[in-house]
Amino acid sequence: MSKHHAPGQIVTPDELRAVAADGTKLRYALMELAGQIPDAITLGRGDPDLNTPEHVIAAARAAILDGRADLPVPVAGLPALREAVAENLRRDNGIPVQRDDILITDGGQEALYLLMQTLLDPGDEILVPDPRYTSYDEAIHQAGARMVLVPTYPEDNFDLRAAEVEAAITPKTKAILIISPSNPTSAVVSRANLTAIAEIARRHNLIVISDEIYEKYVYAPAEQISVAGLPGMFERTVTLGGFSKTYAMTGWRVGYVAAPADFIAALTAVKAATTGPLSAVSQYAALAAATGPQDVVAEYREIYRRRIELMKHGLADLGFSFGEPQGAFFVYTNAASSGIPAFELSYLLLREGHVLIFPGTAFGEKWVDWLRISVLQPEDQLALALERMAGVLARHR
Amino acid sequence: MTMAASILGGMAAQRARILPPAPDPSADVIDLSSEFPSGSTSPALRESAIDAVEQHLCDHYTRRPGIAPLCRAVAASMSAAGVPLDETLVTICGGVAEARYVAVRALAAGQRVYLPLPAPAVYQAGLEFAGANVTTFDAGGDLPDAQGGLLIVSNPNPVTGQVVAPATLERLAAWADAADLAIIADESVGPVRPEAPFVRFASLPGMAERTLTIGSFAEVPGLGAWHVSWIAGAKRVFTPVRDLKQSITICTAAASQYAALAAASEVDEGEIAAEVAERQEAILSLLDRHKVPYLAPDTVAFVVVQVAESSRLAAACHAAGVIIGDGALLGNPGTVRIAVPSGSLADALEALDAALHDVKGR
Ligand SMILES: Cc1ncc(COP(=O)(O)O)c(C=O)c1O
Repeated sequence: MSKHHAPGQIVTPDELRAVAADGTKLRYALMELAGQIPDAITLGRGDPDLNTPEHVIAAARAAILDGRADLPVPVAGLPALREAVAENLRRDNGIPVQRDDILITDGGQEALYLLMQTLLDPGDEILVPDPRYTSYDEAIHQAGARMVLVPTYPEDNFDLRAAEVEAAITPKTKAILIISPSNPTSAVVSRANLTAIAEIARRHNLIVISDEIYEKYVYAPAEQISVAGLPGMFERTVTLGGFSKTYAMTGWRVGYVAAPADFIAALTAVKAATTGPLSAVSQYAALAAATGPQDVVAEYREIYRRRIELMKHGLADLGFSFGEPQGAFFVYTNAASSGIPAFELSYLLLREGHVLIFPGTAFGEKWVDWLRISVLQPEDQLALALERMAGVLARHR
Repeated sequence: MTMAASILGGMAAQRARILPPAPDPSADVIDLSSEFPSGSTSPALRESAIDAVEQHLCDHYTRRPGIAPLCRAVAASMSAAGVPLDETLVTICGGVAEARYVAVRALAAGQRVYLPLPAPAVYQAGLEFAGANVTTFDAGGDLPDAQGGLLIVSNPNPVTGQVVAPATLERLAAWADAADLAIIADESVGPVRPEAPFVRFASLPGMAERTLTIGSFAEVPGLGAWHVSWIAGAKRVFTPVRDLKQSITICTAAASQYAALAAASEVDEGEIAAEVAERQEAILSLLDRHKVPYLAPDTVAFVVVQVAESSRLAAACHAAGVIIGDGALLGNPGTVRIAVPSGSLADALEALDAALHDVKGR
């Protein structure tokens, strides 16, 4: 707990305090502040620092040059891209999908919005693991539905406990959201819990929305399991995925939804009337990523794994604890030993240490002692960031 | 279908029921159902886009409002049209569908919405999801009693291709002022014919502070498929729309933004309008030959044909290899909309000719 500094003792600027209760706005306000600091090391946003692979760039270039980028693409997505995503999901995830079971979206972000608007009615409840990617809050709120938080715990590396899921179910529950690997905790839901949650969903006739946007970044011995591939689950599971994180392609804005074709057809009608098709050139880029060599993903995975190790050691030296990160590219760390609440601490680290890190409160109200560090900078920058953090802490501890 | 599949499908179908089915362009047919000129982007524009891609400028999320020079270009063009704005009041959106949806969804929530006839169906999803209470009216007739709410002005109208006469706009503006209405000025359709009396709604006295303008880069032939548009306006109406856009898609695809930037700096609007107008004339002459009436177009992007049995003509066109927009679904019954084709002009004319013969012959 915070020993020395009560909340509010460190004076944070008005523009931060004004948005402190809204996770998404808080993250962006911190990014704005960091933008004004020329030598800031940004360990905030989940935007890979690595480049989009060259064969993807070449494919985009070709599509622009030969005019394919100028031709309209169906709302559901480029047929070849839907086919390629389906094939990869069959091969890598064991999800029994065909082309018509895939909708291409404007990033995973749009997918999560469309899903909530399409599936949830006012008054419905959806179970959401806490801490969480708070963009879900807004999408659920827009649909007039209610988010019911399911707690997760550092003791078991933030695994999603089936018993906690079941305890949160009410007659109004319509869906269970699973984000694995998790943003912000980097937890990967264990096979035992995932199978048990699947069984609960079937027993209570619930839908599962499985956000697997970080699926390719899972570190052994953890294993990535797709709920939709478990027996009897495909017909009640909507899988969300994308190219942003896997291939360092956040700027291309390509995501997808995989689910039974009749659902995809309806979701496509909603997309047509809300956001329309995604830019053709982005889809040709994604097609090259989906069908091209995949060794680049293994290469990126090894880079992130090493960075996570470096960060873990550095944080341990600072006296911070954490759940063991099993996936994604975040370390979610408990900074209580600093004696400074995380909201104030992240501001201090930025102002004095020129290091951008998001406080846990940007991912859930109760995470007042936690920080989410993304390791999306080269190792020398991470080491420098740790040094700067140590300096700030030494001054304030 | 398995029983459980219908759980998901059935739920979604409830929501999708209110919406028209998604158009599905396929390789075997010429798709003339859109409201934007098809065609090819220029070599200069392609070069600029490729440069940005190869420099890895398109790999990462951009600033959420969009790349700064593009926001500045939009602000400058609005200012030149009599709507002084700075770049902080501009956000780049995906295609115009997204811009329309976020504008309507954010500003119509729980509001009474006033929609002049013919009311394009493109706002339907936003209005339904926002739970808006819609009043349609004839802009030339008595204006409804109103106190607060939202007015949507489509200019040029995407289902007639016609601009709203300046006198009518002034009348609407005076009414919006007296009734304290917020305004969405959907000015995304184009290019506008040089002789058409097009006026930006936000440039009318007192309107800048209550108007959100929607514009699009899709008027540049070939850029429609890059899906890039913009919203700009006074803080009060701009901020909630910007926030919703960002929460739905974070930012717009970077490559599309760089292509739009090239269009904004390299493309001459007058030249484009003249080039597309020539192709539009070919369709108008065909209609004249068939003695089929059409609305005098103020935009060169498409032609709106007056035909009682619009669905029959649309079906005949489809059979002949061309998809056109059925006014019954678009929000203007008794019409069809035909986009001006580019490379496929000769084939499209032949197919339209066959379809018109077919419908009249029966
Ligand atoms: C859990 C989760 N889902 C979805 C997204 C959306 O990403 P994108 O829209 O870039 O695909 C993110 C991005 O950070 C995320 O963390």
